[in-house]
Amino acid sequence: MDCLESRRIMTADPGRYETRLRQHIRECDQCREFDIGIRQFESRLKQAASIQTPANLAAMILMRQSIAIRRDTRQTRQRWGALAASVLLTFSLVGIFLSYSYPSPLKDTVLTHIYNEADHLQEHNNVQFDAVNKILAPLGGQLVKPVGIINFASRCRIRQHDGAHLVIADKTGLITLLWMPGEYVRKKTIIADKRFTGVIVPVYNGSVAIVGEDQQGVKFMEERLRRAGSLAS
Amino acid sequence: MHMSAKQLQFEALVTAFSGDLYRYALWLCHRRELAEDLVQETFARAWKSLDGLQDHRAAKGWLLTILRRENARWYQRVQREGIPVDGFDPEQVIGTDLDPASAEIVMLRKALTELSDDYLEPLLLQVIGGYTSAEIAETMGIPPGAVMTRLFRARKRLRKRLEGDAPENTRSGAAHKSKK
Repeated sequence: MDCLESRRIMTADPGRYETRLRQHIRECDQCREFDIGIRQFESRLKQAASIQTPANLAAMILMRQSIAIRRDTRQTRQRWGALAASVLLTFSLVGIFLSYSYPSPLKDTVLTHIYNEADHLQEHNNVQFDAVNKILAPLGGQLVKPVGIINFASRCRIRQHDGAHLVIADKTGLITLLWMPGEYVRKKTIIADKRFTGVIVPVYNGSVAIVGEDQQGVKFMEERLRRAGSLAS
Repeated sequence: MHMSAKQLQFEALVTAFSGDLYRYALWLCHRRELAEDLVQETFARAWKSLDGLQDHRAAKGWLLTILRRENARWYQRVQREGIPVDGFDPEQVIGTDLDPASAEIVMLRKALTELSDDYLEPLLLQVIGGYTSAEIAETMGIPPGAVMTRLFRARKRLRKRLEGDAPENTRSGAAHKSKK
């Protein structure tokens, strides 16, 4: 790969380099310098593209959407007024059925999952960082930085979705991370029972549970993941 | 899908992506109110077909695709119905959220508003959307090689502008052509 081609790729797609280009950058002082310049420019470009958004944008969208849903519901109700009695009866029956069949709160599911798979807390596999990200990647998750010694990491099933189960050892003890795509919580949810304490944090494609026996350890892990961008919501 | 789960998923998507969708829309249309409307309409359509979203990781790309269609639909309506639209206001994009020390960023934003759509859009998909060149090619329906060329030229022009050269092949006047 020559310098001209290298610089063309560096300019078009900064940072996403194939092996041949990385090799060239290592060997060519001028292209290495060019790469530094293009990355600095890219950082300014990202800053320039990040226009300030209206402060209440998300709230406004959600509010309008809920009004639209209510309006649709009202129109439907008016249109089918003659059938209201029978529809209400049907919905009541469905409601009763759902109240029995809808799964328990997610925090209970998380604790049950950890107790059912308590043997993972005894494992010492020292799973490598890259191997963990291979497990998380198909689930839309990523550990940006190492978070401690990972004793166990595996895919698992949580309710109806595939997730990931990690056990991390840090100075406060063992922390269980459950990556749960498709399992949504509206806001950060506290988990606590006699043994465990933890939180469920909403992320863009579901939620992540961080559970341990030491509250400080959980808090520390949440902060660490948040700072590393692994809990982007 | 259970209704409350759908609502929670929707809320998560709005919280995660509304900001980037708004930025993308504003760079395309240069009008804050229209950008808000486009994002709102995007999420309204997303709500209707949310049950069809199989892969959570594809959510951002899926939303950006809806937004691109909404933008194109809006311009088609403007042309078809002869709706009078105000000229572009790059100042709305350049904004006032920067301190005076950020002259370089202001200049870069000005340069971005001057890029033609052919160069601006792949660049936005890459910088805001996080798309790879292959994904941009698929989204825009152009060959990957053409994407790389446009990205290269776009950045080259922006860097030239920062270095003080006159703009070339930029957006001409107020006539914004959206041809998606």
